Amino acid sequence: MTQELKDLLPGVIAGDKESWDAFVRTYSPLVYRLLGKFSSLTPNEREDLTQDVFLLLLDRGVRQFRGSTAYEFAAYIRMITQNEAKSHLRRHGRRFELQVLDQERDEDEDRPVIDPAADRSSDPEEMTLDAENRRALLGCIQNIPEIDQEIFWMRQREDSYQEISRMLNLPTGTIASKFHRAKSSIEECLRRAGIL
Amino acid sequence: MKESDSKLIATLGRLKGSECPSERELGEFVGNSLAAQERQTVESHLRSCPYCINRVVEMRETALLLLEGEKAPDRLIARLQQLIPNRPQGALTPQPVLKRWFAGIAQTLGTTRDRLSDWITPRFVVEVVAASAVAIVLVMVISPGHREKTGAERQYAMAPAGAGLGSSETAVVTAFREGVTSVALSAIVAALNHPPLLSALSATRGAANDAGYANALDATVALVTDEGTVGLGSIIGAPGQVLTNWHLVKNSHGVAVMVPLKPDEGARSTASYTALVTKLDPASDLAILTIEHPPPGLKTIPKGKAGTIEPGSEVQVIGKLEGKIALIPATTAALRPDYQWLDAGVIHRTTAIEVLMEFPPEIFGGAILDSRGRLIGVYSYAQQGGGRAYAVSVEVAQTLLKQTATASQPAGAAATSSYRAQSFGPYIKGVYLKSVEPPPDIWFVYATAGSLPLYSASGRMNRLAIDTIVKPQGPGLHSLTYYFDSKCDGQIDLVGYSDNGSTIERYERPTQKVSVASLAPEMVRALRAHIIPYPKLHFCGQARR
Repeated sequence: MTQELKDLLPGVIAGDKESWDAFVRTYSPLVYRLLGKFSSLTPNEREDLTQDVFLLLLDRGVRQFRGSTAYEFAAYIRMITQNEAKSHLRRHGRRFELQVLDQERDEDEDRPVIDPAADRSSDPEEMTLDAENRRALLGCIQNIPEIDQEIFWMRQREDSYQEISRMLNLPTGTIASKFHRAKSSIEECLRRAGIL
Repeated sequence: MKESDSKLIATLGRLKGSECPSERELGEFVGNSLAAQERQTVESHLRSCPYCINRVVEMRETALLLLEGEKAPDRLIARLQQLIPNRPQGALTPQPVLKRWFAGIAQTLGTTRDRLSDWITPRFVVEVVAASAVAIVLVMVISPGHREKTGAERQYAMAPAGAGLGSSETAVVTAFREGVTSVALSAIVAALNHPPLLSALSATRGAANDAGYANALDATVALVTDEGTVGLGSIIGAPGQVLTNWHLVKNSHGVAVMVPLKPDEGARSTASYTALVTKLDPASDLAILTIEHPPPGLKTIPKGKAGTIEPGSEVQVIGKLEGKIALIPATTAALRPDYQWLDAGVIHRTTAIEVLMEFPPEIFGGAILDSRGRLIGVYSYAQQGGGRAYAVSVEVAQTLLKQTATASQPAGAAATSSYRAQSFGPYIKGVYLKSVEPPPDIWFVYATAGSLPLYSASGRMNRLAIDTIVKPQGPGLHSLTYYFDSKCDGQIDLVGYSDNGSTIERYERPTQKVSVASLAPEMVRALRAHIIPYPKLHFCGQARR
């Protein structure tokens, strides 16, 4: 995967037609699918925005990519796509805000993912936990294996067991048991610490 | 989701470890290409950082989405692939001029048929076809391939790609950057001298044209910014209002303009002044500058109408040839009511005049003139290798001018409207603080981003506007929170929210007092680490440098 990308990007930067065609074939489904998560986009807008993203990639985007792995590149495309969609919706006066900026607003159907990072910036007062709670929380999670924590968060993000299985290359049964173990362990610990 | 779950998530989500791994490290972690020891380090970080776990999860989700899901329509894929057109057979052969012209005209015909409503008439098509035939004949006649270049061609060939700065220009850039006193700055700016504007107008034009063109050249200024950007502008109104491109001045905290002098006004060919950026419009790529203390008797370019220019008309672009400002002929192709182009990652969208020209100059901001020397557009964008260039129409500029006039009126509206955010482009925020007028020139801004340590620096731009620079450290810009201490009393009195880095979406007065002192150390650390090399930053209570 990474080798393919390394071969492809220089061609795209050089304006090579064949590389560009291959690049479009590889990445347009991703952009198109990412935009599909913005339910308020019309089908036409979705296609136009896909084109905008590729214009951006063609113009500077690919050249400005500084990473080295295919995962980074896909994440980079995701970031560009989401920004394009958000600014488009905003430009056209449609409600779009990251949930963070407006916690009192109960529903935000455009919200693509849970974004704990954004969450933090909602309120200066909430940005930092006090030291005591922080230590307790850390104590609760730092002994849980990394992969179990990933599964925990994937489930919170409403990924299905099938999807998680594809992502981690683990059987669904293993995933289900890891998830329940992680969840109850965190909950119990937090309850003991008086946080939950 | 159960209520206890949401609470758990909210609580956990606030937790973030210190010294998070870079995007690259996470990419390599997910891709299993980290060395064992590094892998262990990342893994142990992840165990205590739900925030980074979510970054990892997002990477995996995106990678899965790349492989499976809804199919993109074939016609969409075909359309995207056309963004790089098939290369015409035999392109890049020894007669690029001819080929490029031909390709440009052919493409224009194609796109106009598809997309244009305003100018598209059968007559236009015929005219362009006729013009293309003439052009081809001309090139063939005068360009057999191995003969001496004509004077004009030599000029084109030698036109500078990206203008280098002269020593006086470099001195101005340095002075802006180092934040010298205003007295010293004006002395340095005054020493600027631009090479004489091209006096010899084309001999083929009539006297009436010459007078109009000569006036337009007299009202054209060269500008240089603290960022080292150079460009052109047109004086369009009193007092010393200059119309230019947004992209030339978007990041600037200092702009010097050079105004042409008459030959009988002494040995110098230009006089130089500092200018304030008074209006910026990223969408149309236009900006309005105001010359500080403009001299009396400045010439202005009269405004024409882009809407009435016939396709196929000859127009003049004010650009630069061999370091001199000159009129460069071009042919109008179309008026594009909703033209979009991308420049430095910003999408512009506005009404633009498309012109065909052999070698579009790479100095922007100059006027495009009709046959009587009236301004019909601002030369803003040239397609690479396409022989096509675009000028934002004068009508858009006029709307912008009117907006400026309205904005300077007291709004007299509700309290919430006393804060007006304005985008100055990616990562640049401007805030008008109408309630504090003039705003204090010592103040404080702190910015945080969702996933990244983003910081901002601030300075004074002019009496009304406060500017802010945010330097992102990576691509993952989620949201920003700005803290303003505009009264400099050590308390944050305004919080701004932005979620994409290009505009501040919302302002609020904090209900609880938050002291600047609790935020400032992080800012100072960022400065020490040279995250923001910005000379004009100062904190409340500190003496200005």
